[in-house]
Amino acid sequence: MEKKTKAEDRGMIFTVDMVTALFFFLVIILSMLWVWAEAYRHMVDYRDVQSRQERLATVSSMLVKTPGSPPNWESSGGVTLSGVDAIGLAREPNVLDEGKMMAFMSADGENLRERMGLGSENFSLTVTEDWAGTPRIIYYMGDSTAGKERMIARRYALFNGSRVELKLEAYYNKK
Amino acid sequence: MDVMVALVVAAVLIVMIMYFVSAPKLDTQGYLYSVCDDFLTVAGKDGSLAAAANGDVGQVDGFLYSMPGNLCLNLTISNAGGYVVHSNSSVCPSPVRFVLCKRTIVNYTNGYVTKLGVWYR
Repeated sequence: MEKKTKAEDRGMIFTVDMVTALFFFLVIILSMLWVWAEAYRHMVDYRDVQSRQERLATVSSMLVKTPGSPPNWESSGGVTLSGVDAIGLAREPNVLDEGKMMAFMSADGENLRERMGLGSENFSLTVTEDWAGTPRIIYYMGDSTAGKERMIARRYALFNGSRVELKLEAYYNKK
Repeated sequence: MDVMVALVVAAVLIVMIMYFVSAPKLDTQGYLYSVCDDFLTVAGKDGSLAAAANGDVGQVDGFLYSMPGNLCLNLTISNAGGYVVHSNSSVCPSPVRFVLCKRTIVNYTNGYVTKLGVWYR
């Protein structure tokens, strides 16, 4: 004889406790995955900013501290900077050379960027006298519209006997 | 109930650990060294430090005040006997971490030690 069973008599696979536990388990797992993804993204951003910062600092030091390579690159390189390995603007550390400045301003931007070691970043360079009072821009070159993010290195030097601020800005887009 | 509390506490701890791991501070000491070195080199070459050692402090103080507002500087010039002949600093809170540069200058036959501390405001 067949016996009919009531619903409450059957073995229940999904109890309320189990469903609740599964829900919380999934919420926590998904939260951890999200946190992990965010952490990874922050690490990538951090490494990117750090490397750009170090590169900009190195480039700015090369500009204000070294004459470049070869040291007379301003007279041998021309606009295309052929045969120039590195760009420097200094006659001696922290003393800018007018001839090098003129050659820098007239050189092709793409070639300059490559020789300076800036990679894919666009840049601008501003040399200002009396920067804290009534700023007088002596030299400016670059493209400040390229790239949403900006990084700045300010350096100080002498130019024709006067103190100047050399502001090197790099523009880039986040990865 | 115990399991719920344990899970919540574990989740909070994991989030905190991930936050601190994922937000490391950028190393900005290198830039402070650059500014410090630039200041002393420029002030040494244009004669401001030597002038300050002689009592004419206008040039070097003007240079100090022209530095970016997010930086604090503390300049001290001492003679060979350790006597401070000039000292000036930005109006800033005391530093937690700072960069210190030293430079020796010779003014006629007298030697002076210049110290410059630089830190973020």
